[in-house]
Amino acid sequence: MKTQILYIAKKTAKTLVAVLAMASGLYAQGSSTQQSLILRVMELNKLGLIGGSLKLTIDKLYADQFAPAPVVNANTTLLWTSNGENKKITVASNNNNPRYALRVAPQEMSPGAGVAAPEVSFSDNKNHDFIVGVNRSAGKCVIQFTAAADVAKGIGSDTHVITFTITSS
Amino acid sequence: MMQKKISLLESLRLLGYIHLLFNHHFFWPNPGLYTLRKLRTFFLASLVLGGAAKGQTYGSDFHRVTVQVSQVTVVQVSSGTVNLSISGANAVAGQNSMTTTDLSTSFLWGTNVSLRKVTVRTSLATPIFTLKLLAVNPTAGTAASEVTLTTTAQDFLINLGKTSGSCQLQYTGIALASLGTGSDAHTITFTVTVQ
Repeated sequence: MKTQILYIAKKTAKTLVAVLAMASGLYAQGSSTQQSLILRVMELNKLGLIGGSLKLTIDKLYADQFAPAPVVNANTTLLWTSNGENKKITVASNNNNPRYALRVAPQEMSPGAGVAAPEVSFSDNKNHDFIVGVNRSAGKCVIQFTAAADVAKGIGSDTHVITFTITSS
Repeated sequence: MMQKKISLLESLRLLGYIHLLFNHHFFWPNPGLYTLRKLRTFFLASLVLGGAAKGQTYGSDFHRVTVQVSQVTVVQVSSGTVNLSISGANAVAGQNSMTTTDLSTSFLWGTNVSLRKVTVRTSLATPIFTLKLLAVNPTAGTAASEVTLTTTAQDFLINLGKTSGSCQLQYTGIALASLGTGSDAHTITFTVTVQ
């Protein structure tokens, strides 16, 4: 009887060892594998314009004032994306001594994408705030240009290259 | 090479001579008779067996060889690390969403078992950004739909059965401008399981 029990115990132990060996063998064969992946997002700031060159022509007078009437153009759109914080968009003209007045202001701003700065009148080639308070946002606005002339300035033309820049506040 | 065979008739004749020789009363009672009889038996047997065996197989034996193939499933990625980066080049002005795609690594597998699939999951429970994965151009099996990686295993490749093959790993990282900057570190686990 004792011999039989010993025999059964030995058999069971052998079976267990075999099962464990098989299981470990399957694991070692690699039915799963891993890969490390790091996704990094850098700070990025993008600006874009929709609409090409503009031509503003002043060719009307206020009938009662004998003064040229201003011309408004709102045919271009400014777009921006920034995942940074405390950014602003500035505007500048390369014409530091224009003969005629040219003003610009953002209109129809995307909600929550920034705050419109006061209208800018170009009289130098410095940067002026156009949109402030840009924080982790994407948005767009209509760029409204207004050109005006005094009769004393006579006729002629000004050329501006307008540059929009996104920068830190 | 020609070999002369002893015919059955010759064998019987020789057997008779030897039998007469060893059983003749001339040898009896000789003490060496027993030994002689043993020699006779050996001699006769050698003649008979030798004659019959000439020109045939001299010996043979066998052993049994068993080849056992267990379930084998092996998977591997071509590189242990992937770096995805979203920078200015991945952004479009006016769009909140920014994406980047990586196809630099591959997934390879081999399995001798039918009805298997590969699932995928990430270790990162709360990523800042979205990470998607798609099996591109699998040489066997069927690519599952692009999955957004979570800690729950999702199908990556299906209908794998007794095949080996590979596919490209197409990772797509998606960040929103509103989420700002940062990084997510994932450990992606691919597992072969029963379909």
